[in-house]
Amino acid sequence: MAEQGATLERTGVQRPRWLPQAGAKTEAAVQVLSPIALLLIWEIAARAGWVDQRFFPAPSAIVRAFWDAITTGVLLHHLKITLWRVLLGTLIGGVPAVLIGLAMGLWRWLRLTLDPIIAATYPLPKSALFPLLLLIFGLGEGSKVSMVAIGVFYLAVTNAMEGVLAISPVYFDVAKTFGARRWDVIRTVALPGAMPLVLAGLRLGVGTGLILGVLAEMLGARDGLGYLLWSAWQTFSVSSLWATLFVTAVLGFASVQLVDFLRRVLVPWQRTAGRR
Amino acid sequence: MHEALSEPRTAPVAQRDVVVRVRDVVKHFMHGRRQLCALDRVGFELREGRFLVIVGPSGCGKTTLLRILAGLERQDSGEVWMRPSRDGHPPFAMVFQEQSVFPWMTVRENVAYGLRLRRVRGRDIEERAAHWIRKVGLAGFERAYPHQLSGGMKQRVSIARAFAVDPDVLLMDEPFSALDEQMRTILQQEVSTLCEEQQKTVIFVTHSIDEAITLGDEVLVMTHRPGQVKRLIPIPFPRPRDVVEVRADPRYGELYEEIWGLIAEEVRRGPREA
Repeated sequence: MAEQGATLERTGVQRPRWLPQAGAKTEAAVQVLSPIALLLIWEIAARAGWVDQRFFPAPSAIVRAFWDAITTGVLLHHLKITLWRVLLGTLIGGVPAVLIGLAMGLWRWLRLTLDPIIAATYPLPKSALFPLLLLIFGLGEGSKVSMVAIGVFYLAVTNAMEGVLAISPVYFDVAKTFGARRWDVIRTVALPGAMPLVLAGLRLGVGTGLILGVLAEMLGARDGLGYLLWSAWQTFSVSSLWATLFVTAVLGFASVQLVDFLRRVLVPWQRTAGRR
Repeated sequence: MHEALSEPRTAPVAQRDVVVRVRDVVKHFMHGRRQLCALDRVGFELREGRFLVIVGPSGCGKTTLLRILAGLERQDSGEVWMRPSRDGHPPFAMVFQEQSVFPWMTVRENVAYGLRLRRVRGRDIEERAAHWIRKVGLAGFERAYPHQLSGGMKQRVSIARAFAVDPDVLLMDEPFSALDEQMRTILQQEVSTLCEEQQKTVIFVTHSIDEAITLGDEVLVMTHRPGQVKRLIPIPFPRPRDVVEVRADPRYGELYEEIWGLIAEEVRRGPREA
């Protein structure tokens, strides 16, 4: 009996471990090798003249341009400026959005008042607002930062509201039966319960904020990654255009990673559930 | 004259250790545009330390009745009374049917929840939470989050959370209905033992006749909608009880037949709408 249990247990453990592990290794290898293969093909194609070098310079040329931009400090200078704008915009747009969203989820009358306004203005392409923002804030930081803030705001506010509304009513019932007062209910049920969607909203918001920020920099700024991209196009320095593009992509990736890190800290109870 | 004499003599005796009193409770629901009567003049009294099980066909309003007792809903008319606790906190705790353990709290935080709301001293909270975690067999899982636990373990957390505040009355709304049969039997035995040991007054709602007989001191059978008290059946088995041995008792079969007869009648008749 014990013998049988042991073998059952052994095969039960061995199987899932052994099979996916081999699969996981192959998967990881493919994930690393495929971009390398693409770069290799690209390099060969560019040198052999199969693709137009004016639009698709060889990766080695891009790396050189990238290196130049780094060593002269140009790229870092503009990166810092964009980073600052995105960070500031995310705070200015995100913090009130989360607070308003949570409040809307908690209080019906507030939801009824604000939801139509948000729903009516949400479909408007945020980029269309930039001329108006330029008019209001001028060419200074305000127009760029507010652009990011608007991008973050909408996604953060709706998700925070949905976060509260998505909490199963039974949790509120539990709190009430234990004699929880209003603030207790908010503190112990509504806030932690809404946290997963609040962070999902911020994650999406930061992505949109970055898009709008870079766009605003292209249209009306004298610095930042968007400006750098635009001036690269205007001076036809394609290699530096690609290099800047790469840095912008890394910035996007890094900001999402940052929010994911925040999620792991603030929502520890979902960590393993979400990852497995 | 005779009436006047007997009234004051019997009333205090009957009321002496009554913990829960429900009288003529009526509750309507709006279903679309139609008004449905969920509870129609329901009444009962429960003495201290008694285990009352409410059974009835689905939709007979038994959960509604429990929610009214818990203050989660209000009756349209009638009276619900529960003996107040000495410390001014709710005199009851409720164990819910569904998944009701907070996913964002560890086992320890969940069990300590009611105590924290009651502003119990930190050291006492730790002690009492640890005591109840041990009591329901979850020692070693204090720091686990609910998603790491099985359904049976989660329901144990829910039970520990209710017992931890040491309520006079326990309200249980089909707490085992989502569990498999083995786990259900195990938890039935544990709850039966705990309630006996802690001298709790219990109101337990279920649709399982078997559960009603194995756990209850009294079984209140409800009619189909509108829910009324159809019959109150005393269960003769002594406590403490072994929930498996009870099933082997010849009286178990008789009781099962009797209660099933009452419920089957209601199920066949279906809801009576006005």
